[in-house]
Amino acid sequence: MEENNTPSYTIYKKSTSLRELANTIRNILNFLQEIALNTAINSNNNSSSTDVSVYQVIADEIKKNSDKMIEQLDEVDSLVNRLINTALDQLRYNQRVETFEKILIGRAITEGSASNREQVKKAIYGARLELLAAFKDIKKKVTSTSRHQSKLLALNEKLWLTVTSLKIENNLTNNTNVFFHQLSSVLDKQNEDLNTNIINIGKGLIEISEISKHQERSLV
Amino acid sequence: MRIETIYQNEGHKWIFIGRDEAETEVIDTNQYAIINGDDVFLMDPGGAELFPEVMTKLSQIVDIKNIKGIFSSHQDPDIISALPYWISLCPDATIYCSGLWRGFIAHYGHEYIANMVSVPDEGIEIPLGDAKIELIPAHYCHSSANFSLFDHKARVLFSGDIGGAVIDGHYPLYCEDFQKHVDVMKPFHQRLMPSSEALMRWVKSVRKHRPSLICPQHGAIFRSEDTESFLDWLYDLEVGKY
Repeated sequence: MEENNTPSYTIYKKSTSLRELANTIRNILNFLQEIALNTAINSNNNSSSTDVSVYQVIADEIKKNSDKMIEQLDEVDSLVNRLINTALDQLRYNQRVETFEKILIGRAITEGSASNREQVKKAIYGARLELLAAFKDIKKKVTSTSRHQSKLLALNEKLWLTVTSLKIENNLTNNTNVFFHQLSSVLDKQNEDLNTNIINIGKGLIEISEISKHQERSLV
Repeated sequence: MRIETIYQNEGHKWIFIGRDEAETEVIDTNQYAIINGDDVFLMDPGGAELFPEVMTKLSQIVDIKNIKGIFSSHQDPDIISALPYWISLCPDATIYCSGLWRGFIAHYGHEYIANMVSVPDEGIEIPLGDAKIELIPAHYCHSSANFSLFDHKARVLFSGDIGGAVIDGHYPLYCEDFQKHVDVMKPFHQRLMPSSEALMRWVKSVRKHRPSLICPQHGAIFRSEDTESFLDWLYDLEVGKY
């Protein structure tokens, strides 16, 4: 696709970058699921019943939260794919508007009949209506995606809170305490990465929404 | 870009639009329109790159809103990628293409699929004003679902890629020296046409119509005795080579 600086192309580019962010989030969540599984296996190898219980809580919480986050992410993925399709549609409509406008401004059509000029104007009007509908659709999809993005953010915070609470309250034996702190630092890192990527999705959505609103106003 | 009337009999005309003299990487294509009274019918209206030029040329002689039909001989982008622009201009026009390619051509603009008529493999007849045009099977010449168009009133054949040649925008509109032109046509046919048998079948079916003009989508138009020379040459040509 030919790169350009038009708002339509910017919307398309930003929509595709949302998919990249969603892919990164999915990789982290898959990693968390592996951690949950390993932690659950590890809990059975510990002699202390307190340790076993702490590990089980961690494993359960990670599994439960990451499952919920994957559900939300599936929704985000599906919406982002539809957003990209609409972004592609608006690129095509925009190109039509531009082509017909160039034809109108250009020399040759003025030699033709007035009826043909009218026909070109109608085509521009039609493409603009399609463009307007696409921008409205983009706004709707952005709103829906934002809802799932907020839920993802909340679930990630819940995961962080669980690990942090356990860090403060745990009563692990010395040996396993060392392991727990290693585990919690890995979880903290993943948590932080998730947070950054989810927030970036939110920022991207706001930017797309702003451009769409602006474009919509310019077309009305 | 040139616009020429290549056939005219009272209210029935064939218009050629092509020979883009601008230096470009885009392959040169011939666009044709049949005008019958007020009705206009486009054949392989070309790629999106050429649309502004083709459209402005055509608009000098017809009312664009009178475009009633658009024929796509096959699915290639140089044939029909300008379709969304044409249909934006004349949203009621019917698009004739092979049923096999309907869903493929929709990739150029899916919103226009309702305008498409799926042409069956055996071809169809289409009324245009007081004329009758016929879509003649040309499968595997070169596309696997491919049609030529014969205008019974004018006895003009639009052959699509058959008879094509890669030329520049300065090449003569009509074939002037058949033997020389063969040198230009031969590599095009040997590489793009997969089946000698399919070409022979096509030559047999076309010959019975005795076309007075054969108009390919690339290269030079054949007229007078060159039409027969061309059909003879094609019948014996070995293709599917590289």
